[in-house]
Amino acid sequence: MSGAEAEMHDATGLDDASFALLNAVHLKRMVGEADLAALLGTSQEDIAARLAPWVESGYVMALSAGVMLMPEGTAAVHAHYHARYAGLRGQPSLGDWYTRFETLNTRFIAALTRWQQQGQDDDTLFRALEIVEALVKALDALTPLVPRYADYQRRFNAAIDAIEQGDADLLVNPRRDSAHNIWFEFHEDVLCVLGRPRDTT
Amino acid sequence: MSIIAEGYNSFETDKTPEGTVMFLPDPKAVIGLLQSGKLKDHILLAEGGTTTFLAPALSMGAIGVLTLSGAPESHLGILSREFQIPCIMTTYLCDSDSRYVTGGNNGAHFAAVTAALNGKRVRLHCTDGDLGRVELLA
Repeated sequence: MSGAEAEMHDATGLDDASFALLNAVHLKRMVGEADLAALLGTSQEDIAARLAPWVESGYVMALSAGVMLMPEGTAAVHAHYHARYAGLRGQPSLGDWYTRFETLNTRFIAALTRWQQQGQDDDTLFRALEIVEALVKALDALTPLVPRYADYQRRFNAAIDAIEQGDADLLVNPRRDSAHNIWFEFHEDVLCVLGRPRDTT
Repeated sequence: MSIIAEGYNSFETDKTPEGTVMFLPDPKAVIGLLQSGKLKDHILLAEGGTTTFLAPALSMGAIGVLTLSGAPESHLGILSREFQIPCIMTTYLCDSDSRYVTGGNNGAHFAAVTAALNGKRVRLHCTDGDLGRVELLA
């Protein structure tokens, strides 16, 4: 990407495809091209080609373990969130939704902590999945406002299905598209939509 | 053994990582450390359990983490256990009565703990259940 093109993106915001790519890197903090390809439903070659100009322009840094956003890339993603969602931020219903989410978040983190520290029994797993299912249902209220949130529902449901079929590793493994990783990304995402800093958990 | 700081232990482990404490105040500092190739020389010090920008350092093999706030029941606590990276949270200095206060103005406390630990060579001890300890090395 030329310097002039980078400036144009700074001034006008990212197009939707660029936002989808850079926001995925933003939310995952560090991610490999294969995982990005799976997430965005495209080929690894396509991801490599789409990332290259952002690496060249200094928005994205490529390391051996994957790519991550540089401050310029983070600023562009945040600017896009602001441009796209600032109009939603004053809606009381959205604030109320997030307050209810915080309760779910506290319960989910507690359930995962029990799973990690007190033995990986079926009861703890069932309770953790109940909380994930509650979030999937609660997201129905947000998808009319933020249609791309339907993708979180799809990913959560895929993780739930796999866990219920015996792949309990998909509850919290940080190297897979686990329920905890998806939750973590969604939490960052909804805070960016709301324009809020992260809270305590 | 000279224990200079303690805090909540994210999980019990026999690992006793040693390194020079490096305070990472923002994502830019994490990027700089990753670019330096010296990630494993350092015990990482960050403000809280909400500092999600530490995630790349965890996935690239950080050897130990200290935080100034936050609890083992947090995203960072969960990640430290999954990656099996010793992690001591809401770290305080043993020779001071100053403690983190939830919802309080913790600026002076954070500055004091950071000043005392940043740049020091330490070893983490995480074998004692809920309490993690930071040993000062010569």
